[in-house]
Amino acid sequence: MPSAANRPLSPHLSVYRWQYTMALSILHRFTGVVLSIGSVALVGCLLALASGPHWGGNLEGLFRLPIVRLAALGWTYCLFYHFANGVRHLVWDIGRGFEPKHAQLSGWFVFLASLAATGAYWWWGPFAGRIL
Amino acid sequence: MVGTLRGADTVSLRTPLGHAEGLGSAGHGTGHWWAQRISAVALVPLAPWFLWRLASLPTLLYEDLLNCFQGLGDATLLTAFVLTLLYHSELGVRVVLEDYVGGGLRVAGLIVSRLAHVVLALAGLLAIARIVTQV
Repeated sequence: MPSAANRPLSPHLSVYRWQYTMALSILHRFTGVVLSIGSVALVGCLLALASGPHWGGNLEGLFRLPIVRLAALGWTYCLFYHFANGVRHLVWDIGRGFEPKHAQLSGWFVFLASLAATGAYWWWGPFAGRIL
Repeated sequence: MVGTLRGADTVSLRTPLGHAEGLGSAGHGTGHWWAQRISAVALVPLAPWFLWRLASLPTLLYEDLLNCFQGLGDATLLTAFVLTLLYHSELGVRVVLEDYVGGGLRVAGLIVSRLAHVVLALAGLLAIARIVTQV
């Protein structure tokens, strides 16, 4: 039996022609990791709010900082993208939308819809008129 | 005789017990896959609810933030959102570590990720409990 090092590998990414659906797939994992890191900040905000007016009162000032706004903007984009693409995955899981034509179309839809949703959220949302 | 469970034309090397248990070669079956899907389905309404709740805030001042989540219904949904998010996050980070990190770093990463997610969940839970009782 071959050792672990020289067992035959399944065809790896490099044998496939590059397609944008691959980028979308990588983006799903990337946004997931960003959201995981963001959840630390989310729990941090809850802890600040829980520890009373001093720390809780600083949140408003914190969210005035451009760098924090940029991070929050990035977090909401990741959330919208991961959400939309996650629903796309759930549709695949029930066995629909696998045909290349449909998968490519839903990919474009997810990408554009998450951009539009982020724009709309920051235009009308809690930071309306105060983007950066 | 082993291996003729699915009819004469398909030969399976799986034992009848292994076939019945359905846990596969890793011994975990589809548990992780299902948990990821179920938490994802739960987040489909919870994540938009959270964003909508934030969007309906008049300001980000302390009183407004506090009032936003102090109602029992809001606090319940916030708890569900935070815990489901962290659970889904743990499942996802585990896959990323297993796929892209090797050796001792992978083991260390898996332990740190699991512990960090548990600590975050506890902190989130206690924070919400204090937010609800904050005057």
